[in-house]
Amino acid sequence: MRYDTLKEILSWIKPEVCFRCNKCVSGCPVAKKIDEYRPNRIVKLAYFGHIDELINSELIWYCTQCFTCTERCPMEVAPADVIIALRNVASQNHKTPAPWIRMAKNIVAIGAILPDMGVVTVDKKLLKRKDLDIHKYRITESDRLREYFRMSKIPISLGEE
Amino acid sequence: MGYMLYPGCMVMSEQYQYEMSAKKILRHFGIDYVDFPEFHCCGEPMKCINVLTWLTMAGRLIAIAEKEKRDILTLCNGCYLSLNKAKKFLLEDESRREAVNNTLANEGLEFRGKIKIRHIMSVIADDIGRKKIEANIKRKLNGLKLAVHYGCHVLRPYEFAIDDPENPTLVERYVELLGAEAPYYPERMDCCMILFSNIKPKEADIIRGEKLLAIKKRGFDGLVTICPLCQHSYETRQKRISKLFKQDASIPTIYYTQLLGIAIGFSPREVGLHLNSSPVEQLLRKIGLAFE
Repeated sequence: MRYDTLKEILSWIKPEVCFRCNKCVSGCPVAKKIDEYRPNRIVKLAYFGHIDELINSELIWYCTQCFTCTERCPMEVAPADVIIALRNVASQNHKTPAPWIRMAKNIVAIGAILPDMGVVTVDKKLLKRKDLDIHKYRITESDRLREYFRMSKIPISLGEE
Repeated sequence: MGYMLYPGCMVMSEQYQYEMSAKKILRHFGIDYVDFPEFHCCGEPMKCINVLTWLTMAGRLIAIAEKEKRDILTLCNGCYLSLNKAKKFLLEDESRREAVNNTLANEGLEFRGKIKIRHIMSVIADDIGRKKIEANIKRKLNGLKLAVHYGCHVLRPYEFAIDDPENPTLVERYVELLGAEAPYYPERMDCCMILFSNIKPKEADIIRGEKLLAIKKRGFDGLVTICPLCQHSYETRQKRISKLFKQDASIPTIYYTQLLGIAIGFSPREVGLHLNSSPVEQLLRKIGLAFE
């Protein structure tokens, strides 16, 4: 288990000063819908070392990164950043959810998180980027991008090595 | 110092109209910009997998613009925050900056963190400004009542915000400048839930649907966005959301750059309105326009 990223991030965001004012909870759009999801609860669980429980739970992937909790916290606890750290730790332990793996694979293969989907126009024609008179970007080489993943030692397979 | 325009993944893969309309505005007002010489994701979604991968990808883009002595101009709120945050992170964290620069040195690049990362909305407000826009208006958008949606990442965290994080007024003021109304509505700060939709797509659509239906109930003619992720959430998902709620949740949803383009005299197709999947013709009809 590699907890170094989390330790480091916890060291600069001071979760121990949370006094449960619940401003983060009241502003959280996920907490509004999902009772088990509470930003300050995740921070406290991380602070008291319940890392296995957190990285094995889908809950840490619910945060939509709107930063309302971080903005409103009077003690600068920054729950959204603690959650990024937890997701990093989960990923180091082979717990990256499929949608994020899909995005990583797409980035390596085509530079973007998703392929050119095309849109149906008002004239009912399917147009892709190449059909339009807009700038055609050169896509960065796959090998270069793959290298950025490889050096981070992320244990996910990104296809062709 | 001019800009280097960075489109972002969503604009590359489906939100073409944002780039089309933004460039029309930039050229019309003589803003100096060039396109990025190449494209890869800014790294934002990879922040959740590995912070160093994110910093390397974002740091590389900053280094490319720095080499050309240009500030980065982003269309996407996600890229705006990702690049700004990565810049701050790299400036403050010497060991990570070294790691990133070691990698970038292989291709003769260096992150120095001297350039600015700007969002198209603040470029419109700060570089173009009210006076120039007012002098260029060809069609007043009188009679339109529009709901404004900002998108979280241009407002929070505060240090990178383009306006007040809790009570922004910038976009409303620039919509009203064009002659339309942009009143307050209680749901305006509700998030588009794009990242949450990765893991809970149905629940995300419910949250989006509640906002869309509230906007309709309040009698708005349309929704105005400044972020391709929000635009995707509220426009591309409308058909799905209508099915989910078993009622019509569709409402014209357009970028501010498209709205501004129409006001200064571009045709609907020139600003890419034919690429929007929401019923934008309703909006056009109200100001006496149609797709030719």
